[in-house]
Amino acid sequence: MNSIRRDAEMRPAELVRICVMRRLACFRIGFSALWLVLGPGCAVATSGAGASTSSEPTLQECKTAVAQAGALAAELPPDNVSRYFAERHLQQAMVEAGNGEFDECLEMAARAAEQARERRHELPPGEKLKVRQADE
Amino acid sequence: MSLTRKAILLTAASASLAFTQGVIANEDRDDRKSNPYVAGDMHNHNTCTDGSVAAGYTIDRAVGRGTASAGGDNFDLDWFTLGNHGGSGNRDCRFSDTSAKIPGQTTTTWSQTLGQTIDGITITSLKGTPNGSGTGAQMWRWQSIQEIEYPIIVDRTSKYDKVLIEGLEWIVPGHEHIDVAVLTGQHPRRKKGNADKMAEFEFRFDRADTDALGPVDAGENQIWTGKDNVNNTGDAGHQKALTGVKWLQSKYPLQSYVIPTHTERQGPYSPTANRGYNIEHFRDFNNAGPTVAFGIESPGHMAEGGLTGGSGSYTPNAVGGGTYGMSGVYTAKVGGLWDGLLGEGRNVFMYISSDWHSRGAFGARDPSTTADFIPGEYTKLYVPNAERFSSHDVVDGMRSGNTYSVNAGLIGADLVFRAKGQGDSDWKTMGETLVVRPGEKITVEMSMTVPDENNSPYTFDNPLLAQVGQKKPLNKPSLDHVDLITGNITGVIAPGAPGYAVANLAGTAGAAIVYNPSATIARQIQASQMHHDKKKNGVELRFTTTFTAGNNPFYIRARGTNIPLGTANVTDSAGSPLLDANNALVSCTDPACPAHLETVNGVKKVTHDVQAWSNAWFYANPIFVRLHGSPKLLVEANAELARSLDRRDDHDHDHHDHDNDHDHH
Repeated sequence: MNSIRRDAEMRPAELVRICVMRRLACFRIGFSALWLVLGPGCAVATSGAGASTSSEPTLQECKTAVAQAGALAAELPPDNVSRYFAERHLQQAMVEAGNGEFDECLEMAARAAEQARERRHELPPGEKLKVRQADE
Repeated sequence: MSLTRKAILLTAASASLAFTQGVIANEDRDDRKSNPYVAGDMHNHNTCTDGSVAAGYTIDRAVGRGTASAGGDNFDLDWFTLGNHGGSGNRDCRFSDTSAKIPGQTTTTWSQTLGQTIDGITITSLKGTPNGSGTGAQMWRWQSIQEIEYPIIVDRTSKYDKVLIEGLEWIVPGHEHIDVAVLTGQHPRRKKGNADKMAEFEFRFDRADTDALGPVDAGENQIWTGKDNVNNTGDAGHQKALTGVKWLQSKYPLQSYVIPTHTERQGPYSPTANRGYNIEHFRDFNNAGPTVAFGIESPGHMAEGGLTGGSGSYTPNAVGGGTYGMSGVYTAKVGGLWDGLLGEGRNVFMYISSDWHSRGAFGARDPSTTADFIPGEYTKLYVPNAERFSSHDVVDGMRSGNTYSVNAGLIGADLVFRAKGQGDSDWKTMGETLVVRPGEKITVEMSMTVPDENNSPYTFDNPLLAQVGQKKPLNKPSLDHVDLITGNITGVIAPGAPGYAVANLAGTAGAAIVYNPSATIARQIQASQMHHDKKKNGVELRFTTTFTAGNNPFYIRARGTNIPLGTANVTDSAGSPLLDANNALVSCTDPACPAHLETVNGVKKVTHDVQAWSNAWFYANPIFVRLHGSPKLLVEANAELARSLDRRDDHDHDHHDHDNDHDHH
């Protein structure tokens, strides 16, 4: 079990990065923050875990779908509300991946791509999407 | 609420007569302490898996009262089962995710907190088979059930004096998901006990938990031996799932439940993958676990609906192509899968929960949501109240079928739905069986309170009703009518017999499948035709109607809605809900329609939480009817089995494992 503890040592640099990203989360979610949700070693069960016999979606497929949808969203202006919605979907996609639910990851990535392509959210002049921030 | 001071209420379904009559006559029935039913939620998530908030935060919002300290309403549920996914997770679920926008809370992983004492809990290592590294280092769910969630359940139980249960959303071999709880060992009210049995079930049977080791003893010997870590997919997975159901039935027949959830979401079952449920799988589960596998849960995620559907988190590939009146087609369709099971006389009852993960585009404290509602905010599962209400009353109540499911606060905690024969004084309620003679008149009585307000943050008029000229604010529930749905009971179909397995279809084609052709809306009672009584916090509506017994057994179930018959893009001419994606064809034109609704050419459409608050339904479980001298129905046989197991339990005190300071039986 000691090796597990070594692997899982705290990394202060990661904490700093989250705190910085928190302020940007209003209309932009950085993919480095998403990476923390997922984690670089996510769902890579090492030897001893049961072998999967499933033909279910994989982490790599999830990552690819998220990257593609993220690229679509990035084509929209940073303050575009549809981009914000798309990036929230991508946040959830990575959370699902972090839980090993790659099918739901793909579903959320698809929603993000749809949102970015179709710009389903649109604000008339003067109207704002009010989302309460952590410091409010 | 002080549960210990409650008046003696419903202690068994068969005792409903005197109680419900008393309630109807009671001017103080709106007093919560005397409510015949209590509201709860059994399916919700936190950052131990794919939720957005800490495990404790969800409980605080769900069962707390008033306003949360950091903002946002609490929803004061009476009971709460923490029903989170199996598998593993890399986030420390004592912390909420950054995306929840809660002051002082940032996404935190186990790698950052090992060895620290946080909220009185110290995690020194990630146990079992190593899984991931760095910030991706995962804690297997059996460990977080034992060492994180259950201690938080204990802490919050004493804080709120509510009934809290550690459960699971089982990621099922061969299928998608199932709500499970194992009460055995849990004694949070006594500030002790453990969720070891719940954790063991997760370790053994969750297909996302591929840990081959589990907990070990002081000698590093495996404690939970013999795990099948191979057969997790398709038909082999289904067999493993059945083994799990049998495991619960044999070990915890009165202290566990197995309720498949959002069962249409991933389309039809596949013999080579992990998705879906066909009717034969419900039958298999109920056959394998007659006192534990007794239901179906309709989906949560009610605020996810966009321009092309999505409510319930259903895509167009779900069986039925989406939700109908915020329910899956298996339960929403008259003659659908649920009616097929009831047509066998099976004890398969309907439940509902929030499936809370996040508020989508919003933070946890915002009143709006584009994804999920917090437990108790929109969806309530009512089970019978009891003196000194306990976790066992939750499971006993669910098993009895004497429960009902309500969205959008359409009705309150005092539903009366019962039937009796001619000259008979013995009323039977939901889940029970009335025995009559051919030609006998059956009286059905129903009463309910429509509350003055629900939890909607919106005060503008319901846009689905505005199109038919009705001005009904979204925060003030209204009932348009109640349907009494009947179906013939033709007997249990044996495994392998014709009709036992029914091929299923993805999309709207799946909505065309009829499982019980006799099911029909037998009575439709307009609210305007019901007797009205103004109460302290709402309006009581009640009516009585009659049926005449024929020569065959049948059942009567009920549903109600705020939507009139034939409302464009919402209900058909018979009053059944249309595919909810159609709601988005209706515009939300009130100046107060919120900014987060999806738009077409700049026009806001009825989507997300506005759709959910606009399209409100409740579902009540069936009352069964059979003839004198006819064979007992399976629902009766399985209820008798539960009673006999309970008597056996009474005689074997080693098996008593109640978290009470009393014996609730």
